[in-house]
Amino acid sequence: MSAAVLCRGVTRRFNGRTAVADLDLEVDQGAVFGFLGPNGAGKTTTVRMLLGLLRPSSGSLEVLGLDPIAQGEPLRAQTGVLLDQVGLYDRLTASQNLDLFGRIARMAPAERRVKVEAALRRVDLWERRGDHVSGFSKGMRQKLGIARALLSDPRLLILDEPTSGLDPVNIKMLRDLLTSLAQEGGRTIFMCTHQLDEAQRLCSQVGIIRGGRLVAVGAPDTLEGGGGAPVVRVQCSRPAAATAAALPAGATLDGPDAEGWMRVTLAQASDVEELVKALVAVDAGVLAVVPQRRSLEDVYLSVVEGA
Amino acid sequence: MNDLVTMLWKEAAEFVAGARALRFSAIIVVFLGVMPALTGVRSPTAAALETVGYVLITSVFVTAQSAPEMVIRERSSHSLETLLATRLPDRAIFAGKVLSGAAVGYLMAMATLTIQLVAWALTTHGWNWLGLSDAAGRWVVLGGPAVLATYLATVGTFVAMRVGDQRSAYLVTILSLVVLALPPLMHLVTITTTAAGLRDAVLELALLDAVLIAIGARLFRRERLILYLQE
Repeated sequence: MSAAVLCRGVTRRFNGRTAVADLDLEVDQGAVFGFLGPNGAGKTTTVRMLLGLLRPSSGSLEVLGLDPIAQGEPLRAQTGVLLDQVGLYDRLTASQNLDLFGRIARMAPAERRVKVEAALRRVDLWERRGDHVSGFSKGMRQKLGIARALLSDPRLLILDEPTSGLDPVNIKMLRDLLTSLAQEGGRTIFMCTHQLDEAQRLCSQVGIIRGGRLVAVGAPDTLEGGGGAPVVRVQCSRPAAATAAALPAGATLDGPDAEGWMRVTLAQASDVEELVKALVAVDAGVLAVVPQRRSLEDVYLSVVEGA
Repeated sequence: MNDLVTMLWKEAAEFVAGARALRFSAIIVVFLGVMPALTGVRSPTAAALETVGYVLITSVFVTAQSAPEMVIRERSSHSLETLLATRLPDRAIFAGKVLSGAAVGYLMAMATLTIQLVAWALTTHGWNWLGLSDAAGRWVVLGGPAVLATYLATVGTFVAMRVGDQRSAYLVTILSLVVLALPPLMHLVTITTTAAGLRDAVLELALLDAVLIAIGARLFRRERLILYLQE
């Protein structure tokens, strides 16, 4: 499968400050990619480079097989965008806002009418089509922004913090919309977000950026990176003996709890065998050894906090 | 061409929907339209010269207000970055902004002219074409506001890219008229206040506009604008 987004050693500097450093990233076509990172990590700069709005200082970039700088116009024609600020035209109505983007996409008037209606109905704003956007709530604006991004049925959808600043009801509504978009398939979604549970639920791939560097990338369930140490949970019938075992170098042991479970943090994943041998050697009565899968939040916090 | 039409449609729809901008323009147009007729009866020649002055003033004030406002409004609503993220070419966005700003100034100047003609006819004895009566006069009355509005719209569009505040952008745009006064002051060109002399000045300004637009189209780049917005 060819990549929808391909970055090789992409770096962007502003007046000597490096916003994105040596970014290597590959997002498969049809993937829902979650781009995670704290504020100022380089997410927006990366999005701007993907859209051809900023030229990388060095490195190469390919989006939908196109060079965003040299082939910006055809690339942006196939891309739907919701930036961190929705950027609607407040003086225009909801319908006019979408109509404008239909015109920009060079749709014929009849096609435009059909697509604008479909997009507004999809986000439940058809009844408000004649209202000026200046009177819309934040949630309605986000929905209209997504409708606008989807209007021309883009191959790539870039969403920058789509649920940021919304109340819980609107967050759920937008998540449902994003879930249905993700389930439709066929379209690559590149989503910057702070919502880790959202990324865990929606994304097939995630990447974590910190200080301009991509520090972890992979499927949310199997993500490793940023120096997060492997952890196993061990249950022993004689935990007191286990605490006296000669653990592998660099390992630490927490517990046991009332049921004899202990949490062992290892220096490396291959130390599990050595750990089991050590426990057997002290006759700790090993009942279970369970690798502990770290949540996306664990990984995120460990890499972002530099642990 | 389609893209330019799209940009013009957008600017027109926004302008019409913006009551405040219309109100400002309407006040200027009505005031400058009836002023010459209310200040007393003069010879048609003197009135014709006044007509030119008032029509040009309308063009200057309305364009200096509307052209930067079209950009600043987009900056403050963050719609400019969204617009830059579309497939619209840089030149279409630039030309759309400049032409819209100039068109507003020009249309208002023509509204002023129309009001002046009607007001003159109502307050004196009969109809008079004022500055429009000869070919050179028509160049000045009809072409002068167009070239002046284009100059200010081009300058105003760029000023608004750097200056995010409406009032400051307006003042800087107005002050850019000083540049136009330099060549005559430095005796590089001579302008006479005859109809033919003013026509020549209009043609020279049209040439300057063409150069300015060509430079503007080269400088108006997405990356540059994004960096300005980032600042």
